[in-house]
Amino acid sequence: MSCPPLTDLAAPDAAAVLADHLDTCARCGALLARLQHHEETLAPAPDTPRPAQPAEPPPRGSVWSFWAPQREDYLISAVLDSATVELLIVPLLTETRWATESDIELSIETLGYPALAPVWAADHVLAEQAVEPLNMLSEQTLATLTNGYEAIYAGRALAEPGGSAVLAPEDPRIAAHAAIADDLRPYFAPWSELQGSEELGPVLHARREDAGIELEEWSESIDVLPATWTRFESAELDPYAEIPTAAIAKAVRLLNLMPSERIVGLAHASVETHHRAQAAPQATALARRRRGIARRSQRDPKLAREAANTYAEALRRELGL
Amino acid sequence: MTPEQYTRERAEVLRGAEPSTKLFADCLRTVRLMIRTAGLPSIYSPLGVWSEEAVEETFADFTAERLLGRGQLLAMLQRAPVQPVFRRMLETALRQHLIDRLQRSQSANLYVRVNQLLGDGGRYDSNGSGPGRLWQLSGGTATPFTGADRALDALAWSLGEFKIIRYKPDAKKLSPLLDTDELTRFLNGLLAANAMDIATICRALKLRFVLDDPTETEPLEPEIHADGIGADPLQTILQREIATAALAELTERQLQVLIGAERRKSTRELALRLDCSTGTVSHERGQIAAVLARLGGDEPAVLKEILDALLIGEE
Repeated sequence: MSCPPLTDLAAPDAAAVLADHLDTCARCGALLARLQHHEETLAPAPDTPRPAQPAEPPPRGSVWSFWAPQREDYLISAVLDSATVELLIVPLLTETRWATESDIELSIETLGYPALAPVWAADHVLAEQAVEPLNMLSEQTLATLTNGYEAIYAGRALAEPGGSAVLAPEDPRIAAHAAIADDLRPYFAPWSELQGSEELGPVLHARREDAGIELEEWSESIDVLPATWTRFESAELDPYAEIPTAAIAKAVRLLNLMPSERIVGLAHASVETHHRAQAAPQATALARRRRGIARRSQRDPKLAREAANTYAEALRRELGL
Repeated sequence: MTPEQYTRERAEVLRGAEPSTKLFADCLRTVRLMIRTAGLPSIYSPLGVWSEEAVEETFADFTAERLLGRGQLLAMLQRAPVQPVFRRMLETALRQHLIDRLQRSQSANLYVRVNQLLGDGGRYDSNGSGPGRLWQLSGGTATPFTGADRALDALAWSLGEFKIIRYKPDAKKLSPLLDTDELTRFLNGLLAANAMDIATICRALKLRFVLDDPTETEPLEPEIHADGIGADPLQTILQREIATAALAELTERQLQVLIGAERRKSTRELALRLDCSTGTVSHERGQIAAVLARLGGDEPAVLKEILDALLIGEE
């Protein structure tokens, strides 16, 4: 949680209303004791609302605000690429003084205020993080940003850099860029936390390991047998058959992952890959079984896809999407 | 303005409406409260004290130049979904506006001091005369700088971090923007690369430290902020005011870095503790040094007061 405004800290009821923050913030505790108080009491502070998902994903070339679970302010960004599940965005920052040859400057005419596009910091967000449409870039500006992004990743110089070159390791703009990257990290985390595998089990495994939660304790909290969960995490199990969607939704919440279509897609892939339900047995297979030759039959991709669709739909409901 | 009114106002402006008088009144309220509660030290006042006239002048200037002129009101509304976030951004923007103005108004002295340093003899040689006179380090390169602004800017940044500005309330008119050691380091760094005329050196200063042209600077009041200095009780009050201003100006992360530095923690240890990169810790160190130097918070007594306040808070 970010620090409250100074004027809120100076309110007569600040100690009570901001108690949770004051417990953890030495700065605000020190300021509370030093500021002169005024008479205005604090209105109950509303939380930053979690956005309702837009009906359509933000189109390429649009400027949107983006939300992240750990942040109270929105990130303003231009959409460089758009898909149903995820978006490639480049942040548009109002702080322009750290511009280097790896940044692009947008004049006041573009957004109504001067902005800096650190194309080196462009990354993906989940579609669910998009909040409000704010602007539409011209074809020319979009091309400048897209070309800039491609140039950075191809190791080429930007055609129209926003700042001068970094010539020495002592240049303070290098450290400033590190700080910018750290400040942007919470916005990209909901997407990056769901990478690393095309199935849900391994993604949840990595997240559980990061959180340092032991398997036994974990299994108890989501009410799934440890052996079953281990196989799921190892991408060896069909969750359709053995893990209720309610348990998956609980796992997502406990691991502080953002409910998203990406999670649904990963669960879909887990079921589709491992689902073992078979099509109606053919005559030869029946004959073999009668003779006691229980050969494992082929998976039926169509049935697997149907199971995956059913499971995904149920999970979507559980996640409130 | 209630939180609900803020939400409605924000939605209207994002739809293209003009900001209402109610929103500006709320901004003025923030400015007044920041001053009344000692969140803004008097050194940031254009008149040296926070009189009603100074508050109004500051707010009018802030609104015209930054909120509307540079579109920062719209930018803040876009980024701030709820009122406390908006007010926090507004406080930061106001403080930055006052700092920028103070910084610009003190730049003229810097150009005078560059001239003095160059003429001090021994350290620098020159060729030619008049405005085209080229300065070089004694025994250094005589090749003149012929690059464009971008190259000059890159060279100026490559000289690293500089501890800038001492706006201490007891500073006299034309207090230095860079102390002499830092200005000399800047000058030597530039001239180590190429010989330069005074205009190029001043241009480098302007690019690196975002200064106004000296001919455009506002005239300064003599002995500004000097009232009330000298007596010990006043010094104590002043010290407290500076410490409070520094606490308000630094972020929680910056103060954690400051505490870490006091406890002799390494950059790596701090980065691990704060869950950030070592580059970020280095950046924050630079920002802390700039804030403390600007406010005079790097003086031992003031620094001690800041750290004491933080450590008591931590306990």
